[in-house]
Amino acid sequence: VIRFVAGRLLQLVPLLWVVVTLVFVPLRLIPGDPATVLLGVEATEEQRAAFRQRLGLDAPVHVQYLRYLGRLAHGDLGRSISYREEVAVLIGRTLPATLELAAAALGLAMLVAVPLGVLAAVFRGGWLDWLSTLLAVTGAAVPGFWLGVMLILLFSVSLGWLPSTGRAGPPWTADGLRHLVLPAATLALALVASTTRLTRSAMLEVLGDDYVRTARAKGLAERWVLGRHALRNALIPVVTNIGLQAGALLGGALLIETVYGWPGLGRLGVDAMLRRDFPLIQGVVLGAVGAFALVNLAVDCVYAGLDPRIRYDR
Amino acid sequence: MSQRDRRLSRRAFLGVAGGAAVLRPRLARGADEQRLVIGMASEPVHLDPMRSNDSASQYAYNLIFDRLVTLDEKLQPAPAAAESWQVSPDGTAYTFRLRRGIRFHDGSPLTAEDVKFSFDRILDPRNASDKRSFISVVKSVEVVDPHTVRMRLEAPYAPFLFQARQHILPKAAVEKAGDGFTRRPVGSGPFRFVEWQVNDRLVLGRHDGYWLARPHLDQVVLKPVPDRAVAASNLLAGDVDVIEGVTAAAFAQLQGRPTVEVLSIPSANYNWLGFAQMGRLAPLSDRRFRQAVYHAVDVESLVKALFPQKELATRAYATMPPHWWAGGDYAAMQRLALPRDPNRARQLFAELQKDGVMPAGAAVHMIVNQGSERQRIGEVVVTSLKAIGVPAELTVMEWGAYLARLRKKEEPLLYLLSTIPQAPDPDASLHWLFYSKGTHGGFLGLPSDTELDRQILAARASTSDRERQALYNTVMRRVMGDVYHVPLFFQNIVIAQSRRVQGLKPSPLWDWNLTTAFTNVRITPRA
Repeated sequence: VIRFVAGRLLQLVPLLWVVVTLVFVPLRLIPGDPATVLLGVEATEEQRAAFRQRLGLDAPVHVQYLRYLGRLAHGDLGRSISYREEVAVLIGRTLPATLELAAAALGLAMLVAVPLGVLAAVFRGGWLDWLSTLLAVTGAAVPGFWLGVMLILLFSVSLGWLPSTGRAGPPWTADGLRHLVLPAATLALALVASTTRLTRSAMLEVLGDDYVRTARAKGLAERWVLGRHALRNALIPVVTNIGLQAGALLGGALLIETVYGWPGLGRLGVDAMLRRDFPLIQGVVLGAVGAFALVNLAVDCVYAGLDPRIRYDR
Repeated sequence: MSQRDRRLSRRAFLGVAGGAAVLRPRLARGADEQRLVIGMASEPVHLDPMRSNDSASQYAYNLIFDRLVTLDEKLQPAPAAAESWQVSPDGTAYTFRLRRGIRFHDGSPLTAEDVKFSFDRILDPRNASDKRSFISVVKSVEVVDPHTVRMRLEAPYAPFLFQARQHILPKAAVEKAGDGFTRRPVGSGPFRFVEWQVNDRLVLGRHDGYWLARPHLDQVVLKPVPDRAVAASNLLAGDVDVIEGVTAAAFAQLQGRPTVEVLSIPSANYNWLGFAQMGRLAPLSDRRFRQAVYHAVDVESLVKALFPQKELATRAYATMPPHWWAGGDYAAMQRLALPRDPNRARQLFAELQKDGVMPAGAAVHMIVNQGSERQRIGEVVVTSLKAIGVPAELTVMEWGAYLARLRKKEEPLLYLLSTIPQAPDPDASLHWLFYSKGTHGGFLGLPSDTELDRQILAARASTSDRERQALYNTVMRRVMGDVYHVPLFFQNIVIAQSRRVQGLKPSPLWDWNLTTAFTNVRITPRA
């Protein structure tokens, strides 16, 4: 397992290099450089030139690229042009918030979707099945942004139960948890929708398999048949889906962060883009891609736990 | 009760208790806590005043720093760090006597050296400060004694006191912190920097030794809430106490709510439809083209549709609103406005085509940056042109790309921009907008009009208000008569606040007037 994880981590290096290149070059080609955006309409050509020179943006693109790669090789993500702070520090401050939100949404989605999918499969055609279908369609159709505003109006404005904005601290504190509930629930909905449907269809498939019939024939209680035999096998596509949805979760977090004033990586990235803060954009993309890759690595490791036949180290 | 039943009831109890802990009503703030949370439309970029001029940064650093000179409620120059000043008879030397006893948040005294340092670093071209153009007329800053500073100007400059409203920074602290000063500023204003969590909150604490008055508020939290509908909901939920930039939709949502009040004040936030490269490229260089566009668009209906509530904006007929000093002969400006007249517009376009100024079938290009209002205006303009048979195209661009395209100076383009003059003086907008050799005139390709330039320069140099007024009236008649712009509207400054907030009024400039000579805001505890 260690060799497998180490190998996958090594594979990350060329992936990150490709990502950096794919971000670095187009950024220099799109219209509007940091001098144009940050100095605004009032700056003279002379001021803009001085600004570019100070930041090394007057050098040819390939020189800037090589300089950046050189610093990156030493673990230096550079300094944000707009915030005047180390990019690594800014990412270190915001990435945990995004990961916390994504993890909470994922946990919440699993907590709701897997049991609901199982019940929908077991009671196929019943009211629980109908409810799961309704939830899936709603979750897929309702835009997260709209849902966020509606939840704020209901739970914060009308009922006054939960705060409407911000992050108050770690999720294990009461105040931190209260601030996390609405954004996590909003972000979770789309994932609940897809996971419920996927669990249901995977369960329906395995419930008809021979080993389930055998398990029942040898007199196992139904909850053991469902929990230990059927669900364990049905979870493999579900876990695959979670890995694929990690990107969607991070992307969705961006919108949810805006609605709930959640100080995460998504908002930092949007601000960086609007300000043409090149080092920060590059850092945010690297952080997001790194997080996505690590989640998928974790998913691959979970496979092995679910299905002992899956081995990566051979 | 069986063992199993007991387990279940314990579980049920824990569930209910946990749920109640999470969903319990919002924690009340301390009974006597004076903490004001302001929902800002955007995040500050810098807290070093030299480095940024965006509204969010100004809102923030105006609370942290004292200015050399400030404005009173009537927007006239008033003492701040300088308690008095003298102007030389020829208007080229200003001697400021500094207030004694002002201390920065780190305890050091504010001296003439700090004033000189603060002005010199803005003037230093290497710092590329976008405030340099405001005080570029300053030739030298001299320390006369520890409490006296003299500034010599290259030429008389009537609105200099307005532009002398620069912030005073502690020389030693800035030199020590270097680039990091903007993230951890030290000022002498009513509130000191406490912490800045990116995209979450900027926290300022009371400066107990503030020379003017002890602020009532213990803490001010500036919280970026980019979406205005969300900001309105945050206000209703009680998570923020004040929001700025109230939109038409948020206004409708908030109006009539018992716990909040919406306050509006007219400002000089001037929005216009412009003609990029009108001095260089046909057909925009032909006045008939600009008149035709003006005649094609129903500005009155456009403004009413964009801002259904009169508290949000008023139609503009000139670059300065009538209620500001030297707003000009506004009645004359109104007479110069061109009414919607599709037939006249069609006739003018036909003339342009006949004279070869505009090829038949050539499309008019308009660019706007993203934003619902700008996009809607762009759509109205383009639709109006199409309605009279003139092909027109609209491109909606992200702000950076939009600025870059305008700066290329290669295309004749219709565009939209807005400005809030840095000072309540006509020079602040007219010199910036219409002086052909200025930064704005340069990148938007204004015609090189020596007579207009001369009048603008003469008006800023004159020390007679009457003479200045007459010159500005001439300038305004010229630029409006020649349709340099299609003036659209002045957008009011609109804030909404909890009724618990007392003493806060919106400011026509980028200020949260929390502790000033005319107010000291407080917040009543929650019931």
